[in-house]
Amino acid sequence: MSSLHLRAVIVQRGIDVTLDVAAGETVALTGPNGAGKSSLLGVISGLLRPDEGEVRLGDRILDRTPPHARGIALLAQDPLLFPHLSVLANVAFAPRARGVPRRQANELATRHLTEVGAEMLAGRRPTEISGGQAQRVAVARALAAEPELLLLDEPMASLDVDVRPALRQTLRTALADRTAVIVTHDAADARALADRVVVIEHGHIVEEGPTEQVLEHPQSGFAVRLVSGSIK
Amino acid sequence: MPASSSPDLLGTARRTDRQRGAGPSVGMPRWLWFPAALAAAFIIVPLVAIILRVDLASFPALITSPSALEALWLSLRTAVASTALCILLGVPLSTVLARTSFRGQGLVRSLVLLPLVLPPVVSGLALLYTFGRRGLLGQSLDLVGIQVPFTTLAVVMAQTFVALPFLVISLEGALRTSGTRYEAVAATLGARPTTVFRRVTLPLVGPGLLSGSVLAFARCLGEFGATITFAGNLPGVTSTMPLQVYLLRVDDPDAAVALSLVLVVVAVAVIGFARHGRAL
Repeated sequence: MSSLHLRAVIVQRGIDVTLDVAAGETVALTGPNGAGKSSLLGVISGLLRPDEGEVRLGDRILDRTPPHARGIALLAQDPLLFPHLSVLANVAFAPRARGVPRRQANELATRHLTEVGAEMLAGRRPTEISGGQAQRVAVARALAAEPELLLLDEPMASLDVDVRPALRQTLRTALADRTAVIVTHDAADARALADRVVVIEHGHIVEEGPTEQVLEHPQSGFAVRLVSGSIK
Repeated sequence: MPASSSPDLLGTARRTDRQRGAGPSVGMPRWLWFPAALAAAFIIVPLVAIILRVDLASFPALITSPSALEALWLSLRTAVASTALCILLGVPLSTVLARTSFRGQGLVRSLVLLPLVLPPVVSGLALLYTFGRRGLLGQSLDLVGIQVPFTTLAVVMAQTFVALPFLVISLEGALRTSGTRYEAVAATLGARPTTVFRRVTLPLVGPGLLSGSVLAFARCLGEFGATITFAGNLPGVTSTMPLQVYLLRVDDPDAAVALSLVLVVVAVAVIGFARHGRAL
């Protein structure tokens, strides 16, 4: 696990953010739609090029590193399981991509599926499982990449409300000792998963602090609405 | 505003399911039936006419005559080779067109798709002035002892020239439809661009590649104009089935009709295959 240092300027979107995440820490990124949260994840993962900035993971400077070499996995709102591969092959994708022989990759995949409680789905096709199950498998697939940093972009937003607590519990275990940034609009997510909360409005950080502090004594407009439950 | 409605980083905002089928009727003007039936008959009647003209008693003998078998075999060989060439060249071209943007890309796309609408005989002439003895590249090739025109290789080149756009247009469409979301996920899972291409991009456009290849194969099999211009009409060397049909149509109409029927059957099979895969 490595620490993250991010500085990103995207002029067109009015984004100017500096963010540090300690090794093993989970930070919840929150703020109104269009505030630039997803763009920041894009800059960190290398899918989006900032006008100016720096991404440092541990002691590696990643500005010129392509996404596949960053060691940063991204879990999106939709599970995006590869539809042509079985659940097991989906989870084995990252190990296979880094050259692990098929059998070992499958063993690794089975272990990660077990970790998220989805081992019984191994032989199924992504089209044959529910949305909650698919997101569980997507978590296993991201973990199997053994990322130094895990990014989660509203991982529960497209799920039915009744399956969220179970996935939240899964993520809680998975993120316990991992460096992670999670974008969320849900105070419950922040409370369960994050050590620290960072609120972004209009491309700038307007509030940050330990999760309890921000949720107990919110300062920014968005944080107040988040806690009072008027968001969603 | 509900949080789930915002598109996330990979552009995965929920889409409404693509509507399929005709849906409730809003009352099509009834008179459309008449020109529609006329159009269908215009295509179907000639097909029936040529099928009726086939002499069933002599059909087996006609399509197994040495010259017919020679043409059939040549057609199959060249069409398979050309289709393979189309795949080999067309997959990279489609990917570059669908996944990158560069100055003049629109122009390149238009030019590459030109053989779709160009008279094949013009394509043949263009090839002749490229690879012919006095052609742009042919002069140099001639110096090292390579002569392309009027060989089986010329047949393959002519077929590839006219069929490549069919593959490119259907594969580029498939690539655009499948989008880059899965590719982005694969990259963040540590897969290099080549791995992503092989294990994600290509499998996802498999159906598009298959239908494009089938269309290209059919176009190769039916190629006439470019072939006769660039490769000539030498039995066993460049005289494919369509050329044979043209050659025989006056002297031996029965043989020409029998060979035509074989081509019609192949075409029907191709359309059936492509429709089955929802390609057309």
